Amino acid sequence: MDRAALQQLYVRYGPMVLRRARALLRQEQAAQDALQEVVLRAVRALGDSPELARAFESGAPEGSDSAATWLYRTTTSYCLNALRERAQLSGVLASIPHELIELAHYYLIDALTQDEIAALLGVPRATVGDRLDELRATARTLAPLSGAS
Amino acid sequence: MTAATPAHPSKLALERYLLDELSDIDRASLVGHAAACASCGQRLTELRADNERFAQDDELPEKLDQLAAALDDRAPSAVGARPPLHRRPWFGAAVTGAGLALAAALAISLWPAPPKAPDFAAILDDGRATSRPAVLLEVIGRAPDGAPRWLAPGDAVHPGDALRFRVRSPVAGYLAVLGLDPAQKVRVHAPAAPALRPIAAGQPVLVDDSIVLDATLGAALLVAIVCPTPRTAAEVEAAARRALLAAGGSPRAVERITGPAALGNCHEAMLLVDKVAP
Repeated sequence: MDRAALQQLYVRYGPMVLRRARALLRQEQAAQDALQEVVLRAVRALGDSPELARAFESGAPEGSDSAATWLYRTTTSYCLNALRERAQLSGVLASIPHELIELAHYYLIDALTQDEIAALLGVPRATVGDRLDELRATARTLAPLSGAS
Repeated sequence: MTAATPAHPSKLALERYLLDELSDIDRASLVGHAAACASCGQRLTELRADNERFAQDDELPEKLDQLAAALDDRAPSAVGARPPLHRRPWFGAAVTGAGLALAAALAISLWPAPPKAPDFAAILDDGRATSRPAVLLEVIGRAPDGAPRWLAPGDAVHPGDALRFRVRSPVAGYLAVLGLDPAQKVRVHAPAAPALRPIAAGQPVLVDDSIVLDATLGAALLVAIVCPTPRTAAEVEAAARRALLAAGGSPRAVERITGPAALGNCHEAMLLVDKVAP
């Protein structure tokens, strides 16, 4: 990727990635690091995935092929992993699978609709519903533990 | 567990709107909501300002250098072979070759005075927040060396910037796009022909020609007018001149062009921008 293309990608999508990282990490330098890492992942992914490359090139695809949704999810996943590593997700939360933490964040904090989450994760809407049921079941299991601690 | 709030667009939806990734239906829904919802309208304004700050970051070249170096180190197979990322083709056409000549020919004058506060209601029909279908005027601005961006009411533009217009109408009719300046000038940007061009119901129309802003600074009112019956550009221009005259020559004071006195059955959408020195 030449510098002009890199700059175009960075300026077009960077603000969204940085906002997302700031919201999750709450540390400016960590958010800047996340931005750089996500852009690097995007460039690598563009080389590996013709579908994603088309999403970035066409500018306005729908659903899970959208460049924005790919970057939003990648940023979210990266930041949640970073939080885990910083032990900010500790105690009982550490036992919850990463996918459910990600889903909980989308649904409870970002207030995304199930349709939006389905597009974001690239799964059918029914699957989102099933995973939300799983999340509820996990929350019920953990509630007594949380209350006792 | 709390379900998503359907009344407000999600953070992701707002981001995708700014990136022009929403479907026409979702986009219209979001714009309509933002026009009626102060918090969402304000949030969009903040996001646009944040995007501007990001693009104007003094450290941007250094950050790109770091990225380029990291790419060289970490993913040599993924770089270099990719084609350039998508560039919106109309801008390329507008600022090069015949497009440049056309843009220069259509260059308009813009003028002084503080902008109206950003208000998404202003881009809807009659400048009022409404839930009913309305004519929608969207303006894309691009600096000669910058990326295209959607302009919000009150946004700053600069001499040399190219502007292009996208209009959506809830009803089929005939479209004109024009600009008003404080020197009491009215220019019909589209159509170039004497008669207004047809526009289909619900279909966004990207006006073929762009305009390039000259060196005069100040506020400019951009207007899209859709009439249900055939009209001429001269009729629309005359109505705009009367409205501008009635407003004391100030585009900021123009509340509407269509009305009982002229173009009574037409609909309009307005966007006020402020042209400032770079």
